[in-house]
Amino acid sequence: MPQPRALPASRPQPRPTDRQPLPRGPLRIALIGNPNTGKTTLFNRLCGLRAKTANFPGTTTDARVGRLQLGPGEEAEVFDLPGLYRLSLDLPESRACRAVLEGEGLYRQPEVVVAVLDATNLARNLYLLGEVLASGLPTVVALNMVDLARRRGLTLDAARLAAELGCPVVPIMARKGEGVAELLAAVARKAQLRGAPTHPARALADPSDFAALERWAEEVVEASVGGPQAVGAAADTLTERLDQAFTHPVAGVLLFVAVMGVLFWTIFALATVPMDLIEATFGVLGGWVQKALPEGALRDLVANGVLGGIAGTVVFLPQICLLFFLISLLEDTGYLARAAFVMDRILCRFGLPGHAFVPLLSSHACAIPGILSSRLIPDRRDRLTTILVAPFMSCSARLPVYVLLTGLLFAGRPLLAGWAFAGCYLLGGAAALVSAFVARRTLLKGRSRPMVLELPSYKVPSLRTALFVALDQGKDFLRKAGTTIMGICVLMWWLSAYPHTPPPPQAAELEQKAAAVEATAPQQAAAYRAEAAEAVARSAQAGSFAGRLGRLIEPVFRPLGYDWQLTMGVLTSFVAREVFVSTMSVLLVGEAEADVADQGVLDRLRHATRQDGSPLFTTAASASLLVFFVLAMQCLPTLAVTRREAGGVRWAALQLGYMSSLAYLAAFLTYRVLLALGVP
Amino acid sequence: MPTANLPVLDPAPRPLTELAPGCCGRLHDCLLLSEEAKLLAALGLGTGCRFRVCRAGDPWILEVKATRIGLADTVAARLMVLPEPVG
Repeated sequence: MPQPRALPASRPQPRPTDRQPLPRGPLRIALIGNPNTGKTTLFNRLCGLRAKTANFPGTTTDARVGRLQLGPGEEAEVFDLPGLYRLSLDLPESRACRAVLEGEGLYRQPEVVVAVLDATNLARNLYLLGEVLASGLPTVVALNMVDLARRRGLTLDAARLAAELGCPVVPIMARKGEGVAELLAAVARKAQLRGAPTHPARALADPSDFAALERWAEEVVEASVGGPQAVGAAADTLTERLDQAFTHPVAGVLLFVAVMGVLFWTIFALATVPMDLIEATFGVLGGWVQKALPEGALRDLVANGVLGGIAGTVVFLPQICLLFFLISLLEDTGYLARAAFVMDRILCRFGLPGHAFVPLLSSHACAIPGILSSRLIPDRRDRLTTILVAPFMSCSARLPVYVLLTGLLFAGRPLLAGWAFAGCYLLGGAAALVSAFVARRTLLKGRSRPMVLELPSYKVPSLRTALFVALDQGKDFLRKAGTTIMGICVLMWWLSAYPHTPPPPQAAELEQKAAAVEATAPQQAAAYRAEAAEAVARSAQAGSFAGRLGRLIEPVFRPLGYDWQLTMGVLTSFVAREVFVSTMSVLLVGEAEADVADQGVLDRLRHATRQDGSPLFTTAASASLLVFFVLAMQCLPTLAVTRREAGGVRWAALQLGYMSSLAYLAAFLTYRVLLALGVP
Repeated sequence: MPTANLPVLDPAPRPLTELAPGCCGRLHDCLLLSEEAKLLAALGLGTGCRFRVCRAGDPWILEVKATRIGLADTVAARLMVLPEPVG
């Protein structure tokens, strides 16, 4: 058997023989490899749905952890590490992988490392493998995409490669599941050496000597791979043409706008159905609780607080899952890497990286999945900037508010209302870009990291992988953000529901009138009862802690043209923006579910008055409100996610403070300028 | 301004941004921050590596063996290369 080729000498590395005796428990396997080698596809094949996302402490770098059955009565735990090019780089994913492989901190060192290599690009993949072999950990190589390599005319001698590397090499096709059983058998055989000293087939003396590592990789490839390797060989013309089209300064942008348009239309169109279903389901559950439990605080808490809180969390799920499903598909095709460069030309002028386009566009659906998807951004300052400005993008929760206010502002003039609607989106986008520009010159000083990105091969995306990503992100959201969001919803419900106020005298009079005409004019009686119910609802809202807070804080918002009713609406919308509409509906119309697109409802709102009898929704006040809602941070669930993703409460506090101040100032200027121009 | 393939006899390194699509070359020097240079090397574009220019302009697309690498213009301007004949 040919002797494995020796690696260049390196500094002594900690040896696995120095480890303590291995504790009992499932075998720990780490999957490691370059990005785009099919590691996650392999992980999904191995573990399926038996996986969860783990977060490296102190980072937002994630690894997925799953379980598999290695043999009868033998379970293994699999760590899908983030894709990386080298262990020695000073990047979050490299630091996290080093910590895992060295068993630092909270991590237990893996017992077997499965290095997933791309058979079509072996030389480059060997740089990382060289570092892994130098660590001394028992390693098995999964040589993926062997079918693609064959199609490109490459001939791979797996046995020769195994001899060169001094470790088992198993050819696999992760996408089809071929070779996975053989890979598990090789891992099990390697694991049987547990506790025994390992003898690396060669000594990698110093993997930090990159030139030596390169020479070693080239020699290994020369010995075990045949076929076209030289640069300048016949280029793949389809790839060349697609790259030219997707990165063209004009066509590339147009294509990008079209792709994103389809993506968001799909999310809006498809997510509406499950979202409506979720709301309807919880409405039914709430009704069942109302009937099942006796009247009292417990019934209110369960029906309105807890169920309302759960509904307020779960309703985000369809958008989140759909968004990550579609982004995963797009990423798998290879298109997103090209699109990142297209957007980088525009975004870099504002201190944002090209990678930020996915989070910013996603935030038009909802800022929460938008902020979660900022994990794509490798540089910390770039990522923080993106997280801080993402909520400026007009999300779907703002739509009911925009519909209401533009309807009030431009009654009977739908074209102007449409322009105002579009203007809201542009204002939000402009505020995001300007804020990013300022942030990168002050608090997060420094240039955006210039883009250097591997452009993966174009391929047909894997629906299976995308589905797993979507399910995983959904579970992750429910587990981590869901509890906080639910807590906030319960708190805000309590503030709006308590203390209970006795029904106003007006309601009692109306009930008496209804009773008096019940027999002779039942329709009139029903109208009196409806009016009584409206009066009770308005009184309850006004007398609640939230209502009292509205009266207390009214002087703060008076310069913007708001009275206590609008102030209460603004305050309650901090739990979710669309709550503004239901608060106004209850206060002014008497029903929480009033349809603000309905002309009758709009007329009643338009004629609503302040305590002094003057109109409530003046042009200036409505315009000021609209500007306020475009710019303000009025989503406590988003703040909870910011706190987690940005790594601290100060970033969430900064986001709240900055956006609220900007919204206040802009709304104030809007109101005052309009008044000065004679617009009441 | 991109130029045609220069004869290999011309030893002077020049910025990558002077090469035209289809040109080949070798990386002579990398005037980037060390971590950016290390990342490029990890992608396969280390000093002395041969590459082919697939696309010129922002982004630059280089083919290095089996890897296609996209580079922003600001990065390409800081890579000093030695042009080589194609093939």
